[in-house]
Amino acid sequence: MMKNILKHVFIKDSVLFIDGNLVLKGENPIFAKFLKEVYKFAKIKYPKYYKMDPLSKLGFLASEVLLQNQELASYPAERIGIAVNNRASTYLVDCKHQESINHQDKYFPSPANFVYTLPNVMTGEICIRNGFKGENAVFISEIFDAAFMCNYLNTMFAANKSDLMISGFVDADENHYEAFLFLAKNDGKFNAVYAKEIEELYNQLKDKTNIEK
Amino acid sequence: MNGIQKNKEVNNNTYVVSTAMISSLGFGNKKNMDALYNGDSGVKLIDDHQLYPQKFVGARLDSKALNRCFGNIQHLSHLPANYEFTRFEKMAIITMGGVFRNIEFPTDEKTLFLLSTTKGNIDLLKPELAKKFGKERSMLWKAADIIRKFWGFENKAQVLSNACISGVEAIHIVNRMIKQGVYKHAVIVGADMLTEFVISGFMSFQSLSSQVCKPFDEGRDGLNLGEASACMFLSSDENLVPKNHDKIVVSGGGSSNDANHISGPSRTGDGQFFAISSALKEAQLSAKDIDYISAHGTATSYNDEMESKALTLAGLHEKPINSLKAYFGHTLGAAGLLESIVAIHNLKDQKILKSLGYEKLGVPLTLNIIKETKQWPMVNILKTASGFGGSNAAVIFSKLITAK
Repeated sequence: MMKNILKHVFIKDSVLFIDGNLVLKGENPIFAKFLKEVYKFAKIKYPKYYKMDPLSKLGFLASEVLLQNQELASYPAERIGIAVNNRASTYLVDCKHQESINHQDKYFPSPANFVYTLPNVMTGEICIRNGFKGENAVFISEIFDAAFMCNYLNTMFAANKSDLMISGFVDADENHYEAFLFLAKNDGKFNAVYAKEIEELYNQLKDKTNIEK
Repeated sequence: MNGIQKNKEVNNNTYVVSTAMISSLGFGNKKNMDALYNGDSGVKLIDDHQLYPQKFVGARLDSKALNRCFGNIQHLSHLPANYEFTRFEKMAIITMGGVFRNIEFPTDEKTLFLLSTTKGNIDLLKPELAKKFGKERSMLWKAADIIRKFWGFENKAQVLSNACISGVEAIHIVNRMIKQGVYKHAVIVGADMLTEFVISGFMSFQSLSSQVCKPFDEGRDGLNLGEASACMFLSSDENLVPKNHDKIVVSGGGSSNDANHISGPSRTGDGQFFAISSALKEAQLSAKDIDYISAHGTATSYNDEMESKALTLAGLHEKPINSLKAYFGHTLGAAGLLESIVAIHNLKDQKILKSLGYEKLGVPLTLNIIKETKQWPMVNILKTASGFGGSNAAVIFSKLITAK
């Protein structure tokens, strides 16, 4: 593995990979039910989880698994950041909010729902959980754009703005969910996070998922 | 005042080549700046059941002018002549047209096109529009791709959607990429619409004011929503800056998270302080070098309180500070670009804008809120933003002093 990628996690179609190893294969193809299995698997206890929207739940769980057994105490909070790619923004929760305002006689927009209509609330949830105070950025793209994200990470590291970045692709839509997160370290030598290798890794994980299906 | 010196050996500056904006105050930079210097507000009582079931106070774009302006530039489109654009796409496209008319921006592989928005084509989720345009069109990447195709950019469009800091953060991130040579040029457009979707959401939060908002004032009671679009053309090529224009550079930026609450800012201001510190460090400036601050100032109780703490922590509380929210409303994904462009005009004009709606200090720590629009010497200015998800960003613009 690339030496400045400390760990990676992949969740899709009821399977969970850690560093490319299959660690959980869900019984249930339904997104929400598989998320429950991951929550149990990772032995998480975090009541705030239950109020999150599906995108935040997915990103949160992937980050929990990613950060387990990682020694982060030596990094200043403001030098750990999160930057992810996403496709559908917050489409699922957007539809829920829209339904709540479609009929004037049944008009009940909810603040607890509306707050999740911003994709960076997902990265915010991860920061709150872990106390991370570094840069957050959510870029929207039709497919995971490894080249752009790696340019982003490399320039971030070269400018010495961060020590550690959680990055990747997190997306939840009607018939699709996928989280690919990796932990990238600024090793001080400005070692590039190679876009081609990240892209290959991502494609391998997708292929492995298809085999498990 | 400590200026950014132009480095003759390695020219790694990011120049602000050209800008454009459309808002409730009008279309084009001149109309907006005249209105701002005149103290006009675009925030009005809106009674339009098509937009929202009840009366509310907000800042709206003139839709007739929008369509007229769009008609004037439609011939520039790389898409088929009969292609139907949405209101959001038109807002972004005509603002970019405002830049293009002044100076034709490049669209080659060295140029990044980035859209800064929170909700894009969100009105397309309404049942009648959903039927017409389909689900895919409501996606942010799709809107960005259509705007990209209109202008013929070769690179894939990028979208930054990071709540209310999107615009400031976009400038900061793009500046870093240009300085490090990833791109030579960038065209950033920020846009968000005033929609029932967003109004109803903020109403449910009870965070909208029923009057023109009063940032930092003791009588502030919430924000106004607004709609706008703003575009900034940045480049590492100094020669693109029109002759006899001041050279303005992006001298530094920073971004952070409060890690406190998804819908409430930090109680200490440390997140915003980190963003400001990071921006100062990158610009190689200290607090004393900052001459003017365009703050976020939404006029909600918690936001303005947090900013007073962050600006004090950063040692900037005595600098002239304003918020533009009582002029434009809160324009979400456009706000950071719109308010930066206004601040850049202020820097060129050496004129600071009064913080409309402000009378008496209503935040825990004393800030020097500008009460009167006046001439003011400036070299380095700071623009800040904060938003849902605990996000904070800061960017510094400097007037370049050419080494003699």
